[in-house]
Amino acid sequence: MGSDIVLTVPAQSAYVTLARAATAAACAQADFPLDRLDDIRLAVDEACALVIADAPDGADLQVVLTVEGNHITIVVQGPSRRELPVATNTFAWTVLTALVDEVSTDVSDGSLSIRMQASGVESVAL
Amino acid sequence: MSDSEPTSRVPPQRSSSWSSQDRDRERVLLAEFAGLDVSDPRRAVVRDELVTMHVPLVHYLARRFRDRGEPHDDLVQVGTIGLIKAVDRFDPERGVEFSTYATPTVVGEIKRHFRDKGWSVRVPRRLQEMRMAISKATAELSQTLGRAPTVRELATHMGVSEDEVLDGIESAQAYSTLSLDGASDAESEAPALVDSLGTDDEALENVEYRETLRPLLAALPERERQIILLRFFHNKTQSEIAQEVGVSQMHVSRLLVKSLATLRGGMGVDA
Repeated sequence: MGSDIVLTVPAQSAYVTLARAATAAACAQADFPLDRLDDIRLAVDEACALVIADAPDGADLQVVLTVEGNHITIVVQGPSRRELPVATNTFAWTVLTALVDEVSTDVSDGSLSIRMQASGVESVAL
Repeated sequence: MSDSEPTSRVPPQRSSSWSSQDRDRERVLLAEFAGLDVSDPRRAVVRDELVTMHVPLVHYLARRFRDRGEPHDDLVQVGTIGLIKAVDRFDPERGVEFSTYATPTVVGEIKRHFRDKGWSVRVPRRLQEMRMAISKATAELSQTLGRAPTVRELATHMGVSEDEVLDGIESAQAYSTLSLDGASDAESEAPALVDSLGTDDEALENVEYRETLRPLLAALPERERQIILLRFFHNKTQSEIAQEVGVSQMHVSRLLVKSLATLRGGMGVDA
């Protein structure tokens, strides 16, 4: 608990499935209800697609998952030809904001990062 | 697929359904589109009209693949991606009819869809059973808990390990069987959600590239489109949507994954 899961894979869509699997495992740790887990996995899908879209050939995609209690933070990042972060008036952004509690994006030193946060259910039964 | 592909008959553009006015309009639009810079906002408008104009061609081509177990709407949906690619790549100066140029691209997308399905249809039996058991347990636990269950709760309830549950939910997404995607479940009983949704135009008002998004959304099968609108523009949870539409939450999730991939494919991920 509390330590990071760091996954580095080639920035190609074929490897996104590994990020999805790791996300599901991390969300299970954080006790996310199944529908929220699916949302977050979908958000990771979308974030990976965004990074991969402008990644130079041979680049790696990194996914860092941090679980603290019932809270998860996910950072998806990779080298990118983009000069600007993901615009907030795009459909991709609409999708991301609907799927997780908080999302932010940044471009620095030729790397695009998308940071997402979400909380699972309290351990007290409803 | 290619072995049994029927020979082409008269596509809509060459038949009487197209007036000479339509043909002129097509020529004007194609020429304008080719001259527009990628960053020109006008591009999306012209692209949208060109795509809308040629949707009958996609329907026509999709019909060639009928009786192969895939819903017509799904084929039109993937075919439309091919159409958009064709609009983007067409060079009017080469003197080829647009419909002639677009046909192989559209057919290619449809064939690719069948190939993808062919691969994904072979779900290991063990995973299929696990997935069905999870679906059933999720429904039961949602009743008692008043929310979707966690992986831990599912594992306890089903008497299996958390890993097995994770395998099961992963497979629910990685593989999609034709039978589950068919119109078998609740397609017809789904209430007319669209009445309560407002129009797509309202929902898309603040989204950039909506000119490109709109025809792509329109090409999605009705239920997929409703699910996208409910989830992303009406902020309903997957469980709420599942109840409203009358399918399982896992199915909602799978349709979302599929539709987003389709939209992404059509727009270029950036949009």
